[in-house]
Amino acid sequence: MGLRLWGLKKSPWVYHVNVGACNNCDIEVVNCLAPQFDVERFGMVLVATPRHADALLVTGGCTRQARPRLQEVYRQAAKPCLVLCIGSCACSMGIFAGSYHMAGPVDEVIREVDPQAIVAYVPGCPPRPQAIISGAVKALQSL
Amino acid sequence: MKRTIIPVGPYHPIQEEPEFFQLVVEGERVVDMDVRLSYNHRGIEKLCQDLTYDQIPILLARICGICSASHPMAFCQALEDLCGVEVPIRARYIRSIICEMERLHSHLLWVGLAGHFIGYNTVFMWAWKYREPILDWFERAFGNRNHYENFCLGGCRRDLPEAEVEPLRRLLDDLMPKVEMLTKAVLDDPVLRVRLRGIGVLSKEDARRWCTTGPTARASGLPIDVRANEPYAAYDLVDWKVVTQEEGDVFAKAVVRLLECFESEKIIRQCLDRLEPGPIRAEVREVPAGEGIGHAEAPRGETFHYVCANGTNYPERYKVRAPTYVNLPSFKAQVIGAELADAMLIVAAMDPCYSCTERVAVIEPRRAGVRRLTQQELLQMSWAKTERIRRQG
Amino acid sequence: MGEREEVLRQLEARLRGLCVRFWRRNPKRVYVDVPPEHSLAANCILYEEFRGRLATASGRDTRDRIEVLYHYCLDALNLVVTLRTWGDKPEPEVESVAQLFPGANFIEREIHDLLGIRFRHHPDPRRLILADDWPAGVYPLRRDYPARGGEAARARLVALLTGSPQPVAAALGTAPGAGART
Repeated sequence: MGLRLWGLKKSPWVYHVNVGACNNCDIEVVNCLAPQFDVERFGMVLVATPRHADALLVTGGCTRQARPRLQEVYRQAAKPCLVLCIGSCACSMGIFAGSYHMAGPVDEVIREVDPQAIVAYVPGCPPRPQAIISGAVKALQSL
Repeated sequence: MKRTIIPVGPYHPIQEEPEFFQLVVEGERVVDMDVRLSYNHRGIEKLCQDLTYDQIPILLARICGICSASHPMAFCQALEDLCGVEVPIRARYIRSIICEMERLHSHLLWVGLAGHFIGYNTVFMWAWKYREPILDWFERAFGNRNHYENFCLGGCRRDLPEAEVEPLRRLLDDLMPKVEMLTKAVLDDPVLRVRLRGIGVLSKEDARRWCTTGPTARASGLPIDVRANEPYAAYDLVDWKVVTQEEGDVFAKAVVRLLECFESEKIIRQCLDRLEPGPIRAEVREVPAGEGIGHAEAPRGETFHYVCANGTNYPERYKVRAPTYVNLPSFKAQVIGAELADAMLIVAAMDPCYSCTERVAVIEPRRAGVRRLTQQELLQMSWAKTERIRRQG
Repeated sequence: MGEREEVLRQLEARLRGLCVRFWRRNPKRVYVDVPPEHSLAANCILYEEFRGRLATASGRDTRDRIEVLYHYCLDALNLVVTLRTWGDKPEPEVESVAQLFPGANFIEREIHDLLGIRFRHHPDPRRLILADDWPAGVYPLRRDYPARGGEAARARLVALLTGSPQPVAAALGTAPGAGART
C-alpha cells in the first residue's frame, strides 16, 4: 500500500459538505467531534478546505443549486478521495425524492464527473454517530 | 475608500449548512450585505400536495433537524384551526414537554457554536457534551435522537412512557446546574462583555420593520412569543415568562437564549407534575375544505404554517415559513457598520437555521480585485479579536 | 378579549370601501378579501395603523388567478388577519408591499419565483430560491406543474424504486458530464 493511502487510513482528514440536508446529519457529524464520541482520538480531523481532504462527508440529497458546487468540491479534493454519503437523503434522496429541485442522490452527482469515484453509504435519518464512525472506519478499511 | 466584496460560503466547517453571504467592505467595515437562497431548497411545499395529512408531519419534521418538533407543531395548530379539534389534555402536556426539551438542546447547541465562533472551544465542547443526555432521552422515550415525530392531527402519536418521567426529572436536576454554570460564565466574563456588547445591534424599530421573531426580536425589546401571544399545547396551563432584553446586540441575544433555558425547565417540570393518565389523541374523521393557520414558537422564533384544504385527504396548498426566513434579512441591518472580525458572530447570534430557510447563498459575479476570504479566515479574525481583548485585560 | 373585539370593529370600519369581504372565520382568524387596486393601502393600514407584524405571505394558484395572502399577526390580541389579494392570469401582477417595509422583501421574491406573479415596484426583484439554472417562466407551484417534478423526475423515481440506473443528466435534461457551472 502506498504511503498516501497508509497516511489516509491512519489519520483521515475529512471535509464536510451539506448539499441540501435538514441539518440533522450535519449535527450528528459534528457530534462525532464532541467529547461523547470524540473521533479525533482516531486521528479523524475536520478540515477547512477540500484540497486537504482524504474523504468527503456529504449530507443531504443534492439540490439543483448545490450540484455544480458539489462537483467542484469533489474535483478540488485530492485523489484518492472517499465520498461518504451520510444519511438517507445523501444515499437516495430519501423523503425528498421526486421533488422538482433535487438533482439526485450524491453518488450519481459525483459519478457524473468521475464514474470511478469511491463512494460509501451510511443510511439513517439521521444515522447515529456510532453508525457514522462505524461506516467511515469500514469504508477506509476496505480501501 | 476602495470597496471589496467578500463572498462567504457556500461551504464551511462548523456552521454546517450551505449559505452564501456576500459582504461588501470598505477597509475592515461592512457596508453592505447580500444573501442568496437556493442550496437547500427542496420543494417541500409542492411535495406536501402529494401527501396525506397523516404523512405530512413526517416530511415536515425533516425540514430542519434542530427544529424538528416545531414544524409538526405548527402543522397541528394549522390543521386543528381548520378542523376545530380539541386536543386531549395529556397530549397538550406532552407537546409542551417535547417542544421545551427541543428548545433546551437547541439553545445549548447554539451556545456551543457561539463559543466556537468567539474562540472559546471549551464552551463548544461542554455545551455539546451537555446536550447528549437530552438526545439520549429522546431516543429512549420516542425512538429517535432528533426526529421524534410525535405530533399528529388531534394529539400525539405515541404516549410518553411512564418509565421515562422520573429519568427526565433527574436529567434536568443534572443538566440545569451546568446551564447555570455556562450562563454565569457568559454573564460574568469581562472579555465576553467587551467582545459581544454593542456588536450587531438590531434596534427595536428595525426588528419591527424586518418582521423578526424569536430571540432575535426579543433581544431587541419586542415581547413577541407565540407561546404567550397565542398559547398552544400547555403553555397557558403552566407558569413561565417571556424573556426579553433591550440592547439588541449579540450579548443580549445570548442572554435571552440562556435565560430561556431556565423558563423551559420550569415549563417541563410543571408539565411532568401535572401529567395524568388519559387519551393522547382526539379522533378526526375528515379534514373539511377551508383554510387554517397555525404557528408555534420554535427555538429560533415563530414557525408559521398555512393550509388550504379542499375536502380530500391531500392539501390544495401548504405553506411553510420558518423563523430564520424572516430573521436572516435583518442581518443586513445588524452587520452594516460592523467590523469584518465580528461578521460571523453577528450571523451566529441570529442562530440561523438554513435548512428551515430554504437556504441562503449569495450570487455575485466575481469582479476584478475581489478579496476572497474563506470562512476559516473570518473565524480566525474573530478569534484574534477575542485574544486582543483578553490581552488588554 | 374586549379589546380584541374593539380593534376588530375599528379594523373593519377602516377597511370598508377597500375590501369586498371581511370574514371572521373563528375568534382568532380573520380573512379580508382586497381587490389588487386597494392591496397596498390595506397592507399599509394593517402595518402602520394597527401595528401588525407580517408573519409571511402565501401564494396560491386558483386556476384563473394567482392569489397572495398577507398574514398579519396582531400579537398582543391573539389575532391573525389575512389580507387576500390577487392578480389575474395570464399576466398576474400586484403592487409590492416591500415598498412599505423590508420585511416583505424576501417572501414576494419567493412567490414570484414559484408562482410567477409580478410585484410592481419591488425594490429588488431578483430570483431568490430557485437554482441559477432553473428555466425562466417555469413556475413549480402552479397547478399545471406536475407534482413530483414532471415526467423526467417521475421516471427517475420509478427507476430508483425498481433499481434500474438512470443518469442524473437525463433526468435534468442536460448533457451528461456537463459538470460544474459557475
